[in-house]
Amino acid sequence: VIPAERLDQAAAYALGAVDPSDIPGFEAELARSEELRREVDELRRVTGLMALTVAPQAPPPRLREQIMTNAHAAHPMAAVRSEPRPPGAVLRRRSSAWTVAPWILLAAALVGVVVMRGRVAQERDQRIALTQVTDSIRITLAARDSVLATLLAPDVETVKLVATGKPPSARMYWNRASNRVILAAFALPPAPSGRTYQLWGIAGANARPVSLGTFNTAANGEGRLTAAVPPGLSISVGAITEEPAGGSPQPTTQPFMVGQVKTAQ
Amino acid sequence: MPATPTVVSTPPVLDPAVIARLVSGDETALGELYDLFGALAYSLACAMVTDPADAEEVVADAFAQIWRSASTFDPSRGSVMAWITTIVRSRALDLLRAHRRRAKALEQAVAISNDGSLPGLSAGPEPADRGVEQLEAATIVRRSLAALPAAQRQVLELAYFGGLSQSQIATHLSEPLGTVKTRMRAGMEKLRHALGPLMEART
Repeated sequence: VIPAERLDQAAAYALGAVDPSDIPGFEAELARSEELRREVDELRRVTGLMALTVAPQAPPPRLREQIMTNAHAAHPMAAVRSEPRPPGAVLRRRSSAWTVAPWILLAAALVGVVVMRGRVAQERDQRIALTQVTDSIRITLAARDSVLATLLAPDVETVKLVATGKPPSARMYWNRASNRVILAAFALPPAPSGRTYQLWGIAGANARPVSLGTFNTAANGEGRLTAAVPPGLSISVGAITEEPAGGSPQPTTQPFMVGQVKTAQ
Repeated sequence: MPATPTVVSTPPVLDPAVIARLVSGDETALGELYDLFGALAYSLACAMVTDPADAEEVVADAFAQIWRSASTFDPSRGSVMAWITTIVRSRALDLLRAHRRRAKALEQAVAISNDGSLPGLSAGPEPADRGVEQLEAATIVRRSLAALPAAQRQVLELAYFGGLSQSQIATHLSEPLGTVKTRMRAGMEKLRHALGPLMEART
């Protein structure tokens, strides 16, 4: 179930009306929640239809010519490598296309792979491949924005969580201003089937652990969790336990990694 | 798009293959896309910027972006029309920001009244060159928007056509931010409900 506040923001997001300061937070949530993405997609269909209400105006014929001339001078993204923009193209704002360059090449490769197949299958495959690539780009970019916003702040606590032996290790970044944490785990084998890792924030010696979210690691032992810290929780210790899939309200196993916030209040 | 006129009220539907051709760099696909959505894109731009030359620039910029970034369009996540109108709207707001101007709709709303409506958005006769499906859909959407409580319609229009954020709308209307947020969501929910058949028919 999507919280009411997020539903408010989803409506505003589809209208392009989220306040700029709230956009990174919302997009990070969007990257996490498929349910929220579906909500935004549907609301965007509504706003797309709103365009139909404007007073119709006939464009001058030269506009089509200009658009076709511009297109002839430029390349679609799937065909772009790293060459500079051809002269005459109208696009003045280059946005941040470079950040998605590897995905563009991947998209191009995926499109290339299916060329030999039947036309119907080819189109379906292209759509699926592009959907996957687009989703990946969207999620990657939103997650990256969120990570940068959390890390690049003056008031960030760094917590190193260590196990008894050498590996695995983890580092937790707590941005007090935005009250978000990012956990980066290394050399931690993926949790067994049906199990997950869960990060806890603990305020003090006798405080109950508060769940900050669940995560798992990839085959290379690396995993990352980005989470909002519940308001009012002043973390003095971060801890990781292994829990049943979906996580637990309270830890059911002993933490195998713990770390203390250096400047805990 | 069906070859014969139809009474089914749907926005223009594009053959998905056109997008695939667009992604593969087929310029004629861009022409087809423009023929179907160009008038709508231009009309939207005209509703947002005052100078027709600016509207042309907005549409040219938008279609340049559409051409270059067709591979990022995801048919499973939304309609072609929503994709195109989103890009046109963004380019229009960029242009307004660059020229430090306010959206045309906003100027009109300020100049005329506080009755909640944005005049001029839906005025004027329907031109013959807009497809019958688009006409039908436009009528439904217009009616649905008009059926909203004025205060809800106002925040939707100020956001979409005026390019204002929720805080800016709150300031503009001298209303609490929470009220604006509530109205916006309520308005969108009602509109979504009213336009449901239109959205289903299209997908």
